[in-house]
Amino acid sequence: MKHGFITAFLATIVFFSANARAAITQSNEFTLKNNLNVVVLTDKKVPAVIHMLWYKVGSADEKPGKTGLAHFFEHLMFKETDYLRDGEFSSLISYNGGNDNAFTMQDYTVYFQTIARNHLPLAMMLEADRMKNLEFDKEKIEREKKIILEERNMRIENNPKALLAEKMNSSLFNGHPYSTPIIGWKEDIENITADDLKEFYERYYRPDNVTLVVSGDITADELKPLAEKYYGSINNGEKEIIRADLEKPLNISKHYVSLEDKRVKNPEWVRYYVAPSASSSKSEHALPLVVLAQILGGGETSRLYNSLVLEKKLALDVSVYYDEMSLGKSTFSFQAVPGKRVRFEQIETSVEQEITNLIKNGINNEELRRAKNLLRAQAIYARDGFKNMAFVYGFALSTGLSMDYVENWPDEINKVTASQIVKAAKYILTEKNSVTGTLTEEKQKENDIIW
Amino acid sequence: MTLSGRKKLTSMFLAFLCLVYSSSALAQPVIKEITGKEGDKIWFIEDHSIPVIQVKIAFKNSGSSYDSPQKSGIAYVLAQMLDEGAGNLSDIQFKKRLEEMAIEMDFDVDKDNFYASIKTLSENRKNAFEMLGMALTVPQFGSEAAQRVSGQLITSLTQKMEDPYYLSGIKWDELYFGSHPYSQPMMGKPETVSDIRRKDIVDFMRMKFVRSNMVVSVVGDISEKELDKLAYEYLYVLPKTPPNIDTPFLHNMIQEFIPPENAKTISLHSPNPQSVAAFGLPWLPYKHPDFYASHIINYVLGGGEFESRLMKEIREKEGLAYSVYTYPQNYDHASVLSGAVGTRKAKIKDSLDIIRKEIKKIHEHGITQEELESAKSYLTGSFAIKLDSNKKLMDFLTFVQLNDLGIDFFEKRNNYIEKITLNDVNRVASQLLDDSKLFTVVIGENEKQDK
Repeated sequence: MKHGFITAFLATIVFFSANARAAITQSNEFTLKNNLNVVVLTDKKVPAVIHMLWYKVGSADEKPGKTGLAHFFEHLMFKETDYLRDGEFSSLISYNGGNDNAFTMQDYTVYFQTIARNHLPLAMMLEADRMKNLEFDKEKIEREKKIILEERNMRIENNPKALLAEKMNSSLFNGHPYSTPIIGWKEDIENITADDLKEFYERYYRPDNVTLVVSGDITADELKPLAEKYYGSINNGEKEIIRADLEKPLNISKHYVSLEDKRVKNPEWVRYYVAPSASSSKSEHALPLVVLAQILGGGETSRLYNSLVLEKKLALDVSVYYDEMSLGKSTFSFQAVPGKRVRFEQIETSVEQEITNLIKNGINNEELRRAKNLLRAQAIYARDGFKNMAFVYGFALSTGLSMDYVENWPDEINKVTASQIVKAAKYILTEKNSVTGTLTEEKQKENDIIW
Repeated sequence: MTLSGRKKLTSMFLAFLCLVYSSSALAQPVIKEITGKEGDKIWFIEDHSIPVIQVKIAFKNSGSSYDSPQKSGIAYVLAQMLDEGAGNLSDIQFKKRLEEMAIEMDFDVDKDNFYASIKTLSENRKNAFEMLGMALTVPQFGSEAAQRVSGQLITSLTQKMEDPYYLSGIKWDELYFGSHPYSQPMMGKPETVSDIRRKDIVDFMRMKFVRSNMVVSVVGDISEKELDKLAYEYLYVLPKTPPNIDTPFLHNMIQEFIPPENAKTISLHSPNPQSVAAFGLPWLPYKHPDFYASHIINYVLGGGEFESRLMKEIREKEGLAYSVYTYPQNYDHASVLSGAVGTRKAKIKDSLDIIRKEIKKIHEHGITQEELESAKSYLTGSFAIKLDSNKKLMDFLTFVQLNDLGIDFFEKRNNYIEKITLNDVNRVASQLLDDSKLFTVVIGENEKQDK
């Protein structure tokens, strides 16, 4: 659904950024005089484009006590400007056969429209308008607050799994800008004021803090004059852009978080490790970790699935997830659904055994080749349609990576060696930097945790 | 085109201004119908822009409604079992071979049909067709795999019951469809899945996977000649017509559903802070001459996201929900307009009152000329640009074939919408959109009202 569909979008991000990348031959980049950076991806199959603004500000940039501000602000972008009434932005896009949406992440906030190519100027004009002319009406902000609290109810409060993930993330990144939920803590959302939103707008919503990505039936030569016309004359503000300190050291020790909730029908075991990203320190481990995630827990031929589900029959499902695209550190995570009468410690021991085994005995050529083939094929599959690649380039450029990074990704994946993967596993998957979470029904004896 | 000097004029003004930018005619996909030696047909779009081929097979009259009523879930279990080993390849060998070549193979069901699809790099096309053919003709259905799959499904079904959106949908189907087979949940129920035996799925498969039921759609990097050859070799090995199997439930026909006279509402308790309501009423089938008028009513009522009356009233005006929507569900033997809303427990009744009130309003007073124009403009303008990937084109071909809409549907579809008049829409609204026929399921009604 529209406006900040964080969780729904996470599923897409798993697909895009863990796996899917490929070179598009017709990709171009240019910068306007006001430092607005533009990326053009040409794919002429359908006479339509996706027009996206990737603002370099996200939940990580919020001040303590004001969590949820970036996402709250995203909602306001669909409201009144000096020229448009509430909701008129989306009405105009719809009237012209287009669709529009937005989402907020830790490092960036994204607004986009898919529209017939002849209506691209409309989308550009509207985005340029709300980059500068937004209005802040106290009453409307209070009403939007109620909607955002319902959004939090729907995504988090109604969903024990999401509540556990929120607790674990908060514990893993304790004190770090990544520790807060993107949608914000309930009390913080309630305390956000028109002044907070206005200050945030003036500081971050400016041409030199955004990447414009346009993909589809458009060339750089066609786009350049349009970009100049609509965005070229917007001034950067006076305020300084202050981004979060993501290299802030983490105070890490192995710990456990448990959530008992009467709504839970099946227990779940989850572990998060802090891991480098392709942009953070120790980024040399990032691509080996992508391949490692595939080998350990990427589907039903993976090591963990084979061991925990097929052989030992301890778990009904097990999976591993890692996203190397993050401005700061990332998370390498494991998730398992224990079988009946299986204790969490049995799951934990088996997962750790598989990790130890991999570090000790290495990886065989066949599984390495299989994992790489699959990752590279997925990069080709991602080229189906002009939209996917716009997201991939946007993710990369908003997390400190370059267009080359995207274009060389399949080759770089192919170069990853078994010993690099083992080295990365050894560096990351040590207990001291982990948090383990368990989800159980209240008073469920069978799954009591005895550590 | 520019916004300066304009202060909140009517939005229609802007829409036409955009046409000055060079417009290109909508590209029409060239859809071919290939007829094999024995009369089998394939709808095919040849496209060499990426080295990928996507194939989708639908088996008509083979969805979850054709399950034995005592063993709801047969079709879905079959879908889960088809990639668990085939021919001389064990489950793990089969999956490793798919992964080796990065062939994605999926099986799924809806109420009416069973679907099998593959995505492959064109260099692996022969293997991909061969493995799909194996899965459909000589699957192993090993007992260990069956136990695992049914355990996973039961767990996943119990887990889904935690999701108020899933639960409300299941309960709504039960309430509305009563004893008709459409009341059966697509994935089965935990208590019926455990009763499904090998013979059930073998019989179901032998009876349903026949060429007289088969609808094939292909998009991608392959020539017509080779497609015909591969289909002949690996897909047309299926029998032409069903064999003689005397299992009674497999001979059940699905009767046209007759909507009940008296609408019902039920409420279930829920520990969630946000209540979720599913609602719906009888609707028109695709083939009905007034279908497109009903399509416009849906857009104005709840299908048009932020342009819809429900979103404007419930979200924007009252702040009662983050999400509220309606959408038509057209099954082979029944059509309903379905919808859902999520609102904090104490206020769910307010949301439901507004939904009823808005339905009544359109029923009695119709929609406005402006709403009609906006709906038509969106529905015609967005149609072709939504088909923005080969995957979506493949799904479109399947949809058009299953609903027998004609190979020229792509060209004709927008004309069907253009010719709708306000009289048509309001006549249909006064007959169809009847709030006294509204069935509602509330998960977590306001405790006070429960007493």
